[in-house]
Amino acid sequence: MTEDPVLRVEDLSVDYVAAAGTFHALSNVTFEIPPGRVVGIVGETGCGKSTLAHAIPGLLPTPPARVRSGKVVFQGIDLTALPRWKLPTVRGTGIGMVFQEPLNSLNPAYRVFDQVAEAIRVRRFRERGVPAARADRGPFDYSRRAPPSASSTIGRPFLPGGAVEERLKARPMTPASLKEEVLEALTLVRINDPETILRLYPHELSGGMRQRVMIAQALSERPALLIADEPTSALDVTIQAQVLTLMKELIDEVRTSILFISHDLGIIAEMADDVGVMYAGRLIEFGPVASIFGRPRHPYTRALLRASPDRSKSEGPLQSIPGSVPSLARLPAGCAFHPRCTLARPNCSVDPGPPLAPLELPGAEGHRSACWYAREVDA
Amino acid sequence: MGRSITDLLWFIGKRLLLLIPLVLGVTAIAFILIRIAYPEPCVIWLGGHAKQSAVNQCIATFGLNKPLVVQYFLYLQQFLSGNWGISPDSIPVLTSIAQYFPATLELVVASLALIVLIGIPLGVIAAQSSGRWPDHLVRIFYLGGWATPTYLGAIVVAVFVAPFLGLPTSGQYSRPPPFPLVTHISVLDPLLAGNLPYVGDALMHLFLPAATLALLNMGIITRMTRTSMLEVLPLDYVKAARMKGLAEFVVMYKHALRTALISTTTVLGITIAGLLSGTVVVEEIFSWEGLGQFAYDSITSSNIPGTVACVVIFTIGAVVANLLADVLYGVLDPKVEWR
Amino acid sequence: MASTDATPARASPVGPPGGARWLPAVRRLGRGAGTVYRTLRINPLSFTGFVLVVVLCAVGLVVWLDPSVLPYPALALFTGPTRQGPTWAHPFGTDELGRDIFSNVLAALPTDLAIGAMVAGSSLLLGGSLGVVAGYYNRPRSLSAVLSMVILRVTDLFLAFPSLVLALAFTIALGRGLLQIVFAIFLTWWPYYVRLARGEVLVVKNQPYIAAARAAGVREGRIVLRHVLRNILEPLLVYFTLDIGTVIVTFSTVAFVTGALPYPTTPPVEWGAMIAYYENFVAVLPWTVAFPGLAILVTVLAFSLLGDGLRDLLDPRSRRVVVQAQIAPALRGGAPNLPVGPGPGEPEADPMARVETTGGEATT
Repeated sequence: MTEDPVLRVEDLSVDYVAAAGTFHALSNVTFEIPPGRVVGIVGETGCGKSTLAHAIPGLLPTPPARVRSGKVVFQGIDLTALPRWKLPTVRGTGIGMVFQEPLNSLNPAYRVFDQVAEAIRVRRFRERGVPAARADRGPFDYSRRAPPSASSTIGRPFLPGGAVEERLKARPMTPASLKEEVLEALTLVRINDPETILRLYPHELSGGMRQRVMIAQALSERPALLIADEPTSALDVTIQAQVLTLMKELIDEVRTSILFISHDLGIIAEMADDVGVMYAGRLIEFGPVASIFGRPRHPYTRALLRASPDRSKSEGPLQSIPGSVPSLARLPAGCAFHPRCTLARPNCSVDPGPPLAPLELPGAEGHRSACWYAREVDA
Repeated sequence: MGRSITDLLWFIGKRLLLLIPLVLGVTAIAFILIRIAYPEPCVIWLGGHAKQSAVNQCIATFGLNKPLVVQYFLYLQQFLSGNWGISPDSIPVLTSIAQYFPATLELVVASLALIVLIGIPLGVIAAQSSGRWPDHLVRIFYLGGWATPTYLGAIVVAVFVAPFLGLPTSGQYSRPPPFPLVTHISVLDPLLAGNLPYVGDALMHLFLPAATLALLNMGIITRMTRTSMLEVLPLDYVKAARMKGLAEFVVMYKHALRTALISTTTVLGITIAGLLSGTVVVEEIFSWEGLGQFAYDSITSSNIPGTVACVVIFTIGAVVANLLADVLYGVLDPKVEWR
Repeated sequence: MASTDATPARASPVGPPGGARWLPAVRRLGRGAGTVYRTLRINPLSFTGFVLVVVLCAVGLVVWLDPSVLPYPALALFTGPTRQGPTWAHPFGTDELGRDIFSNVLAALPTDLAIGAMVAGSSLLLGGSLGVVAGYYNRPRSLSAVLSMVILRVTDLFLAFPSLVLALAFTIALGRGLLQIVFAIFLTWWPYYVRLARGEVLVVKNQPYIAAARAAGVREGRIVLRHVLRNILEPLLVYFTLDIGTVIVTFSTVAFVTGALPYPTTPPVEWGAMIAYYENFVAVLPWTVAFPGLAILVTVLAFSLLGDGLRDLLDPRSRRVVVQAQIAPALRGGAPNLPVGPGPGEPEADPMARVETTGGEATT
């Protein structure tokens, strides 16, 4: 683990300031994504996982959102400190994103070709560097961003090293090469008849197909990090399975780091290498997928697993968690989970819980929990 | 039914066919208007002291003793054969209309261009800064335009703003043009004659009336753009466009506005109709020799044939504007199939 | 999603979805007024409009009840020096015959407000009821469907006219005078309400609670009165508020163009007619035009600001914008059970999530 992580989220807290009050959507979230790994974030609706996905590339509308504290360090650059107009230089070729709602994730006014080609144009533009006349200004100023670290993969392909340079020589950007690349991107996501698809408008595609195009579009920029925000939640179960299979295959092929967000434990278990569990805006447990699902070290994760039909370890009936998720405007003092926790002790209602620290337990390397009594939790 | 040019032409053709019942209805209302205004047209026609026999003769000639429905069809026959009546200054109404219509078209097109160039970006700016001061400023601006009666705005511009800007406020040209008025479009005629100084002069004359009309009628379009932008901005494809690494300007105008404009076209028809109505007052105040001024003069001098003709022409204009808006909507929205 | 998204909001803009509509009407109205007030408070422009409308109506009422509150009688000559700019004695100045502009502008306030309310109100009544008929009774191949079609055709015909031009033509056909203009404008005005009411009825008609009422054996007439009318009232009233301003503008334009009101000689005093008369002096006595013009501007702006804010409140499309979409998951908080599991299409945010204080609806 000497390699620099692609993304390091440090102590990130985000509030929504509304007339009704201030909502602590994210509180002190800390985790990192090493290169080439798939990190899953799981939690209930409203726990802040979508906010996290949007906060990383600076997509949250401000106002009402406000980053209260923390950093989002992407390849050595703190994105929260980056001026707004510079964010486009990181997006796309740096961080790509797949969204939840296939109905809305493609612009209804443009054909598939134009949308994917636009993404490819952005990447080609940056791969070639900025034309001299624009070298010192403009949001696309690629050269003046923070000095690329050794591990920087912005603009680097997921293909073997040097391939891009060769391809650039071989293929200057012409309409024909652009079309070729669009077809390539669509083929990558297993679209059978890309020639036909790229002439269609989004409303002429099925939900699953739209989501494939969305993935193709995001991947065609060769991002160093791909954020998938519930990419399959809005799809039918059968289509969901297809898209998940596709994504799983792509993970092996593409080798980008992925932040995979879902409320579905089953999906996360299948897709992710590492898992973070969120509750009421906090990351309460983080670690390798086998460790988290095998031996959860936070009472909430344990309860979540027991309440989940397909992951239920116990033979008995599903167990729901008593009580309800607290409102983000009125979080309980101390640990947010304590009113519902079976292990809660008096200090839990006062003390917000330990920082997400590695547990020094045998067989739990890299497993971190935000519970005082992590050692006592047993699945 | 699809989205090919043939489908579009069929669509337009069918919509134009719908104009026929509309013109029938409009002329019927116009006819009723005339009969309300002139219960005894022959008495007016011949003067108060005419002999009863002459009046009867007149009534028989014009079929005024026939049932009302028959009278309407007689009137319609006249109307369709191009006899739209004669103004008190003994110029046929249709001649006046043909002469004045291009100038009004020019004015409306110019102010529509201004609305598109200013009103739509204002809506985008308001949506981008929703709830903050630029949004409030834009709202005050467009509601102020909406709340100002056209005549008041035109007077203020003509009397107070024009001297300040040093722009002319009267007519199409400063001096009588030395070239033939072929099209009656003030910018086009000198262009056809190759007289460039007059093109500049015409543009100067065009600016204030067009700007007045535009400012006062911008509201609906700006509001609609703002509302639909607000609706579009939180959608995933706008975020997806941002996540492609596009600059904010491109995200706003190429992606968000492109879809928001689909809703905006639904109010284009109303806006053009408003501009047409506005010409009645604006042309009068800026002495713009167009249909609006003709309508104003007809109305104030109780020129009934002229008034009716103007009502009919303005109505057809509004209907065609709505058709244009529908076509534009379909062109912008790929989901629409012409049928 | 799209259909369920817009409609329940219409049914109950305040309070929790469902249930609320069964509350007694009075309580709902009171609650609605409370929400309206709170929303207006949040939007400073709409609140300004609201305050202005209240003030204008109060002043108009006082002037109408007791014209002696005016500093000088309306239309009175030589109340002071002639051709004078604004002073303390004559805040809006005087005209060429010493009429006090301030008094005349104030005297016109009740007239103009009454005209606005009258035209918009009668259009609301006529157009609204025709719209309800045309929207509700359109079962195919019935007599009522024929009636509805006739209503719609006539409405479309009238809607095709640019209303200002038609109103001008009607005015000169009817002869000059205040009531003639009012009637002429009314003739061109009601069709908007037919369209609006019909559109609303078509939305409400397909709501589950209408089907439920019918299944429960409620008579058709009662359904129309109790359920349909109740639920289309809000959008109609918002449009009515906005419309009062529009009528005032149109009326004053007709008065200006046709000169149908004999301003300086006899009452009624009206702003458009005043401007029409003083236009001849605008270069030398600018205040004679400026103040009646300002009066129109302020009045119409007040109604527009109020109506605009109310429309934002009631229009589910712009309402959802009151709170940005991303807030929705954060505000939800109170889910009693865990939506964990491979449920197909579990959306991140509940489209019904609401923010009580803003009356806003938030969706992803």
